[in-house]
Amino acid sequence: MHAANSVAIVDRPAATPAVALKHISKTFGTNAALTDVTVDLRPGEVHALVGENGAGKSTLMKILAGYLPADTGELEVDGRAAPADRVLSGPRVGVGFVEQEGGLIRELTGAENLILAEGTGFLADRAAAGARIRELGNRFGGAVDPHVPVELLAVGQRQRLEILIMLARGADVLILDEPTAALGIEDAAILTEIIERFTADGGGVFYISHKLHEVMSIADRITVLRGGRVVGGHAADQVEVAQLAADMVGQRVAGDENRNGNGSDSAELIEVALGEERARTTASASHEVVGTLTGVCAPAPYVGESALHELDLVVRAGEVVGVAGVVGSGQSTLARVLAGLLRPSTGTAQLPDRVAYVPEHRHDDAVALELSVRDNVVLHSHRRREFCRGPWFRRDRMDQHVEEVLRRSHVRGATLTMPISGLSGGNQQKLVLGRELDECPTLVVAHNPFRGLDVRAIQEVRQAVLGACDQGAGVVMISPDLDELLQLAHRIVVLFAGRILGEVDVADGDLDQLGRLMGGVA
Amino acid sequence: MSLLSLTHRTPRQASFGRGLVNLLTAVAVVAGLVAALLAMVGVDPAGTAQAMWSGSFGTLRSTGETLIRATPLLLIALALIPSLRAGLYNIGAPGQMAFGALASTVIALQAPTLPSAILVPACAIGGCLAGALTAFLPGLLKATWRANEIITTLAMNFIAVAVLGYLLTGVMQSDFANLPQSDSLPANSALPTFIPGTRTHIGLLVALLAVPLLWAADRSRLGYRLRIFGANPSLARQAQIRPGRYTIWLMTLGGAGAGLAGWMQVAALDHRLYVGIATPVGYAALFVALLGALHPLGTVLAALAFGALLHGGDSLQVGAGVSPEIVQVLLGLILLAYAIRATTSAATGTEGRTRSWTFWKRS
Repeated sequence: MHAANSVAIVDRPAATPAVALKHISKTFGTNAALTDVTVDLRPGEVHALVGENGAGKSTLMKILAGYLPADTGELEVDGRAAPADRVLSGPRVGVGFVEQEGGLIRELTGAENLILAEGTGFLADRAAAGARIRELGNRFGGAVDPHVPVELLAVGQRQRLEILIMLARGADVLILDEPTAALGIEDAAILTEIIERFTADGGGVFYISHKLHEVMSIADRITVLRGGRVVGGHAADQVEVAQLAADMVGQRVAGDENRNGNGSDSAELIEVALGEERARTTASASHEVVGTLTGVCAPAPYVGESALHELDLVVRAGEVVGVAGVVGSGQSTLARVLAGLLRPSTGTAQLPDRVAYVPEHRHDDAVALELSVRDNVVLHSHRRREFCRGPWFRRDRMDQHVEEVLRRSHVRGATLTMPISGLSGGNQQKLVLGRELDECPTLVVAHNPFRGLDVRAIQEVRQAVLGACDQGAGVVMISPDLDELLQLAHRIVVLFAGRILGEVDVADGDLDQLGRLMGGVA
Repeated sequence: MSLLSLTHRTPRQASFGRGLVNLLTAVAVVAGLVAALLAMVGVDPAGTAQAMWSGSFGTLRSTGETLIRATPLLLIALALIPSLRAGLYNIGAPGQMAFGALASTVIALQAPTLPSAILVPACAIGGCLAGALTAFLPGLLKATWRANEIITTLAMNFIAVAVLGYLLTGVMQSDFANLPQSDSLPANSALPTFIPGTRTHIGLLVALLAVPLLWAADRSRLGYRLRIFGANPSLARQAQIRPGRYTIWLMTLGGAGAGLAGWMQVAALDHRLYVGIATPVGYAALFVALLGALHPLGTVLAALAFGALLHGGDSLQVGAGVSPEIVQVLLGLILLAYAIRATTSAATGTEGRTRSWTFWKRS
């Protein structure tokens, strides 16, 4: 079994779809996640699935990958019927699912991950496995060292490695779930290159994303899901972004009292989806300083990230400071220093006692997945005297407060005792933000807060951040996505190799200057 | 694997029902296997079961013996539950128990004339502290240098055996024995019994007291912080919960329980110290905690079952002409069956996050 053979798809007639999902329905309890969904994927095409969180994209893909059983419906792979109604013991043959959080084992190298995935046992040849990954890397344009433990690789490299391993295992259908959510510009470009070469070779790609402009440029066909149904199917060259956004958001505001009253109507959401809406803050930055870093040097928390060198930063009340830069320029280090989790080795950090921190990796750092919603919400507030009775809690008061936090931060579908893993990513993120802002912080550090969120969640997270700002908090927002920063920040500082290279006032909007700074040209 | 999947269950979700189902399934499968084994060697399985039952619960006396066997298992298992939930594997209960027994013995032998009301608590405190100190050291090593607690606690077990062997063949060896064992403990260091006609001592009540304590701790601030610490250390740091401190305390707590169990073993039952004082209780207690799904009530049941097996096994030779080693086979098979069960239920979880080769990654 050589990888080279298994990826080359030459003799299949173009009429046969690589994968066809027909009339798939799936319910969780009383909640219909998918209703009669039919999509297919032809060899050599990129088929994008767009839709809000909870629209059913991931559920559909999990059924395709064999991780979830469908209730009804059929599945054909290469024109042959395949079981869709049961969980397979491993990923479906020929289908490679690259999930948002990454599925590689961190302690092992790429070659070892491949050997493990293939189950060829302990006598397997690491060098040969590594050579296969290298060969594919060269062929598809994303070379990664296969003999380095995964945990030492940067995010983009990990993702490329995972894709290469799936190709080495003979996948001719790739499922990419929000693949660019954590990537900087270069990594995203490399990913695009890999996708292009893979499809040119006859492979098919299901591409899940919220970023409509990105989808337009990369996909051949676009299917829009809403509430578990297909509400639109378009060829990418015959549709406007606005149409997609409208499909995605739908016209349901009038009938949905849950979603009324938080200021998001369809038109506004469409604007957010299109990336055109500018943030509106009523607060004007005051002169009151809420956080100061002076000459801070700090070691990088992991390999592939830059240490901070002599970094100066002042954050004032009522302003949003955007931190831009290529991923790995010291953003994680800076976030941890600001959050008080990493002590500077030299220099001084004058920070308030309570810093609200929205970490970059939600599952690793922001929530305890297997604990209840309640346990996750009271992380800080469980210390409040009003909730304590001796060494115990006043459950009634505490629960009341948790409900209040959930309501205020627009977390939907949560009960206090369910594990937080039962919430969608967007709702988890809103919960985290709600929990952090609940402590009335004067400094908010949000690292990639919109990662993997749909437009509605983005809008709500954004309003929460701006709300904190209005109430006099200073906000530091770190993101690899310049558009996000331009929409929200008052000024943007650019990190390069652990230093702040320059600062741009968003009102002036000098994008060329920003671009130069991000490239390291001061 | 099975061990890991257990610790990821939190007190709230450590569903008692599911734990019980796991346990009962394991027992049923194993009973079938053992019955087949017995039938193969020409022994009547039903008769053996009968002998086993009457050996462990047939009379008041035998029930008392079962309870005596269950007591240290229960105490140590309950003390280990908090650390196991936090993913700390303190397998040093044998060593901690041995040092606890040693301290109690030394106190009792040095002050044999003290009145019972002072000597018994003194021995208890001494044993508890000795066990706690024995576990404190691995905890400290883990907190400061991230030394793997499985290795360090295991090493302490060997040290304990060596120290006991050295002392019991030297300064502490009884003048009246050729065996490596100490003098008899004075009668006023003995624990009072509370069920007439049995040897059941108040240690059982001490162990049972830990059940409501654990239940209450789950609902306290401390319990909450332990839960966060066990589920996500990074999150714990953000909530100003210091992982190092909790590591040390959790390890020490397990040691304190084992030390108390060591005290009970010498002061209530054996009345003298010998090298094998902590076998097989020390290791078995870890399994009791795991079989009980880290739930206090499940652990009570598991301890009772283990106690019954250990004691009932001793009466098999007489009652059914079966080698008592069959109990060891039985225990081994139960653990194996349980481990398989726990692994498969983790792999077929309904969450939809099942991946054949990635499901044990840190999530």
